[in-house]
Amino acid sequence: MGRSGARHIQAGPNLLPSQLSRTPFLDRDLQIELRAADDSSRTSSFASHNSVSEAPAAFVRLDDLSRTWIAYGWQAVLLETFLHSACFLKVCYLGLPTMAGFSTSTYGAKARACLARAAPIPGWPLLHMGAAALGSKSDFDLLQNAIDYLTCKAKAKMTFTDEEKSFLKNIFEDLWWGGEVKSYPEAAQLANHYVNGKGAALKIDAALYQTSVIVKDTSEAIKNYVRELIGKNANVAIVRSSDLGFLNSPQCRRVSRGSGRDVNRQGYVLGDGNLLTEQSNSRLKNANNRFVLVAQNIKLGTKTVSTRWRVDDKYVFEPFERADFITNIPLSSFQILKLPDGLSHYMCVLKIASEFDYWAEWTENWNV
Amino acid sequence: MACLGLAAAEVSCTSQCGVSDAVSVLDEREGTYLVYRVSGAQDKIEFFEVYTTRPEFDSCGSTKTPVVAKEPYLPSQGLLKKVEWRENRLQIVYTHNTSESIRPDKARLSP
Repeated sequence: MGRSGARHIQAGPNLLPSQLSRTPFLDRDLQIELRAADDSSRTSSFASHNSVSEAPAAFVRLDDLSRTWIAYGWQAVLLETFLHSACFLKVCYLGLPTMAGFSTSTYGAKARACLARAAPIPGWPLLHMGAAALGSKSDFDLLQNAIDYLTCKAKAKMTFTDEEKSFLKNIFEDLWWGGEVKSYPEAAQLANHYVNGKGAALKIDAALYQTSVIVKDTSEAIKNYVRELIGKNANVAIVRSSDLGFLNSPQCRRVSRGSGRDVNRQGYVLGDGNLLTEQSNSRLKNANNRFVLVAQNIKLGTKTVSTRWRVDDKYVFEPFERADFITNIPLSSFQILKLPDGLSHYMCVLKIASEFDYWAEWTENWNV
Repeated sequence: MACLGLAAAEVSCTSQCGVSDAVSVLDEREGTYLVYRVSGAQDKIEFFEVYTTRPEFDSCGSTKTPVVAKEPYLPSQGLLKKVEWRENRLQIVYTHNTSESIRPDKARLSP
């Protein structure tokens, strides 16, 4: 946590220190200090964080306030102030700048809600997941309560402890363990790369796409479309499933939504040119649910075309502000771990995960 | 590591899907059931489904009850206004007016 995240508030003239001392301080990142202007020895510290040692970055005076709330994450502190006194309050805390200040309503309410949900963070989540899979409700509750609590903190844009960060990272790594065994290697690889890949692009196994019904049918449609273009001496170097020309072609209409295709067994091409994965294909659905298929074509003589098929996408979760999506991770037939996408997104803010591009490609030679 | 391996195997063997669809029955009218489904991991797609028998879903969100109609809700086309079930046809009606939009999980069967 860097110096840039520090905020300091100095208040005066008079305060009631007892108001502060009665308030429980649970946040590790908070330090509150009372100091009389004329007597620097009257200092009370309520800090539980041992890293708050930097000089104040800024001061805000509260001289004219008779009563105010200073809210920070976990708690709101009622400050009684009296005019014509020489007592100063200095609140020093480290955290996200958005958490700062004198919020009187929303932030304090969120903080109190999180405080009410405070839950222990379990170590070795995989062991608890295994126990939950065997039917242990207490292990399941331990995991879910920790996730719910961290979700609350993320929604309030609070900082996370190293223990909390480690827990979230482990959850994603454990998805990798499970995915490897369950024949979802690409979904597992993507989840693991999210927390360990440092944002680098990732190439995944093309077989994931090559075995898909909608990919096979759409690539046939694109090849027929390219045949038609070659007959017209048109440029066929790159054809995308999202190209307007292809979308308006009779070849595309046969694989499009509205053509009578079964979305569960076959999938179809959406109006914007994205291929919607056949929903019975869990391996692909868990890795990539919709994507544009690109054909890079090279004519080999007059009768053969070499096509490099390619799919590019981005691994990213929706933030809380945009969607309420939840990723369901079934641990047993009756215990499903619910991991909000907003929390997964917040992991990037916490710098324990990184969005990244991923891609797959394969080559096919075919006759015109 | 052995414990972790056993734990991973246990987690894996008890459920066949890595990530399950989120499904909920939103409405029932004269034997017709409206279901809202969200599928996928990081790349999620929302669907509305219609069944004529009350569906039972397993932990993966799968059901043996045949789906009568299934349409994706695509936010790129607008906000959700309503879901219509008319003459065995499921239609999702979009709007760009926030005042007349509803959350997908609040949708009901409109005649």
